[in-house]
Amino acid sequence: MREDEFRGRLRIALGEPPQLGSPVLLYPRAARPGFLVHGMALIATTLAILLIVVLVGSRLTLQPRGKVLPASTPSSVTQPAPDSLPCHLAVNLIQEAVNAGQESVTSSSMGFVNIPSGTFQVDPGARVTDLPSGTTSGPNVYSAPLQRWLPATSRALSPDQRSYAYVRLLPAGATLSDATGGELHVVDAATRTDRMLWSKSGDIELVDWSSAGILAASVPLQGGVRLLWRINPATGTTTQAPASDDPMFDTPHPYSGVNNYIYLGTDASGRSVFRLGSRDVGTKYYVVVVDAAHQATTIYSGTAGDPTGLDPSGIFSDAHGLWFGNIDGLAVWLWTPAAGLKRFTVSGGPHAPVGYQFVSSTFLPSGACVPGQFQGVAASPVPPATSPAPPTPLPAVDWSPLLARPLQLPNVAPGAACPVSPQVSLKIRTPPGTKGGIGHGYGQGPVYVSGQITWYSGQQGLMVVTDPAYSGPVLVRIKRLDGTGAAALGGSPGSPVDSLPGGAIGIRQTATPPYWGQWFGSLNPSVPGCYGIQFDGTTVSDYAVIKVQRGMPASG
Amino acid sequence: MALGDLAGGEEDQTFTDAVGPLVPAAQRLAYGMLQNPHECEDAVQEATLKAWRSFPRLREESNLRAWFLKIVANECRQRRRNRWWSVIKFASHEEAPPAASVDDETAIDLRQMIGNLPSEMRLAIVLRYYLDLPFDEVGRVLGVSGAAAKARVHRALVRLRVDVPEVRPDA
Repeated sequence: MREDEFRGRLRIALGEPPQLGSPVLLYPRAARPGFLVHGMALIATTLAILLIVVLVGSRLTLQPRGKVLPASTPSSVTQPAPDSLPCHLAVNLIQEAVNAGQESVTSSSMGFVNIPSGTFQVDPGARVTDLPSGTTSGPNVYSAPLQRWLPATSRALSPDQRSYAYVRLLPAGATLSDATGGELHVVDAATRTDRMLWSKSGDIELVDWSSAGILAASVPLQGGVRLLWRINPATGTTTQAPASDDPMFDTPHPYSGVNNYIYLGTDASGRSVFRLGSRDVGTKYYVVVVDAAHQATTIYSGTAGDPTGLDPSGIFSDAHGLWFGNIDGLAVWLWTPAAGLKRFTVSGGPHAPVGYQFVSSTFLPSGACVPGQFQGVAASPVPPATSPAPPTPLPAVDWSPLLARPLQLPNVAPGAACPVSPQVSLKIRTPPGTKGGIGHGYGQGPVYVSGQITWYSGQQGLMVVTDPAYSGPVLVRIKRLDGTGAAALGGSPGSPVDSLPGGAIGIRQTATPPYWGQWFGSLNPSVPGCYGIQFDGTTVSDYAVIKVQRGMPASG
Repeated sequence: MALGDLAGGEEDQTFTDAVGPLVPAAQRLAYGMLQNPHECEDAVQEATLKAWRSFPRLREESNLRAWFLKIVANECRQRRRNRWWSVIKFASHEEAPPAASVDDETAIDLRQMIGNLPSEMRLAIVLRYYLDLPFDEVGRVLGVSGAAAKARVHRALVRLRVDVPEVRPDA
């Protein structure tokens, strides 16, 4: 290889530097050597005084509502450092309950887990409804500087934790099914000032807010190319950002045997945290931190279901280190470079609600661990099910005639272009009182596959939506068209299926005229590639082709 | 506020006039070394401040660009050393072989391999191929002779499993 060729490769690999700010001289002329020692001492003294004032102030005022007990070793002179223990970690308790065939019931509580005791207490004074928020709801974040909860996720929180961003769908009152555009707003939570920063004709997805600005993605409402934008929160100046800026896709080099990953979040230093590997019991997985140079550091490697039990559900980083929630709701974890991973078993979670077949709860770290112990109130479970009895089982279906039909999927040579089915717009009508329908699908109808715009290897949601013109059973089969590799289809607690030979699934009931049928399940392709999904019903037979990429971002 | 906005004296103006034109090269060096825009800005900022402090001691016969880039390189080295995650070892797992036919994955592989080079080797590669410096100037930044700089670039290329005939010791 000639030098010029290597030079070209290197420049592609490293990329060109982005527009960078010019350096400034921070010190006045008097701080030049000779005056510097004196000047620095003066600055240090001033900072020390300011620090004491701030710490004392924060001790007195920057605490959540509820009763905060002093740390166990209080001192009248020294104030607790931000990384001192004991502390109380801001968390969202998410509890979900569901019966087969019914919509799930979700409850979210804001509170704190006392560290190291692990006791959870709900913050009785937590409220976010006094601040503007977007159309979609989710976990709330705790701002330690403002000593209050904010109606935003940690990704929408400004680096100084005093502002947050949210997306408002247009026109007012619109949902994702009927929106025509979106607005990105920034709220100064201290002054309750709401500024419209940016608008777009498509949907806006808030990706992250860091010292580099707000990173947002614009997505056409009916699907299409997702573009990234970097927005100056002060001026609203917007520049298109490369796809590589998206922390969800800042994945490390693929690990052996690992084709999927879950993005857990970004820490305070801008490093992306991922879980690599499946959650299937017995499979190898890793929790890694990826820096801006795409260097991955393995925080933990284990086997799903091993005695350690680490199964991260979310992260938040503070002066202590990196906090993890656990999907089973039994623990939170703290990781530091020096001490590694430390588990804190959580107690004080809600009792299981009555009348549900499936219940889950988890604690999502949602703010810093604030010095001192928190005493609030006990957590309440979601209300008992209003109709505890599951719906009447649907009559059995003889799937053998549909299973006997041959697959009619196209052949695709390895490496050839995948004949992806075009996306079609759907106007889905759903029964009153339900959450509405999705606006797009793939296929020719009356049965469509939907749920994703981009498909990834790994576990993800899959929808089968059916026009009310057909209400019979549907057999769903999937096959990779351009090589070998399996793709598992599965149901969900609210959408059971018949598991059939060859990995096929049978959906007994689809549409209920005049309403569309919406079946919610899962798809888990083992490897990237081109896949065909065939639907067979008593009077229908159709297929859709999707392209599966490597990796899997978390939903939402 | 740009370089020099706070520099009021004649000496400060001299510093601004001398170092200002070198800032793009400094930023390029920092970006090549750190691959992080924020760290890059911080490193150049800190290096500029250190350069400003030591500017009065700079001898007239010194190569200004090499002097400034050396300060930037030291700052980058320090920052890489201080990264808390850099001391964490990978768990024992094998990485999948790179998909050589895909350009972007090849680029990612090369970036990772460069990132895994020892700092001195990485610096030599960045100075030579990212800043296009002649070996003599690479040597001045590294504090070695031009021949030694060439040898270091060669060793780095060997580590990267790249054979560049022009850099072989016998070339």
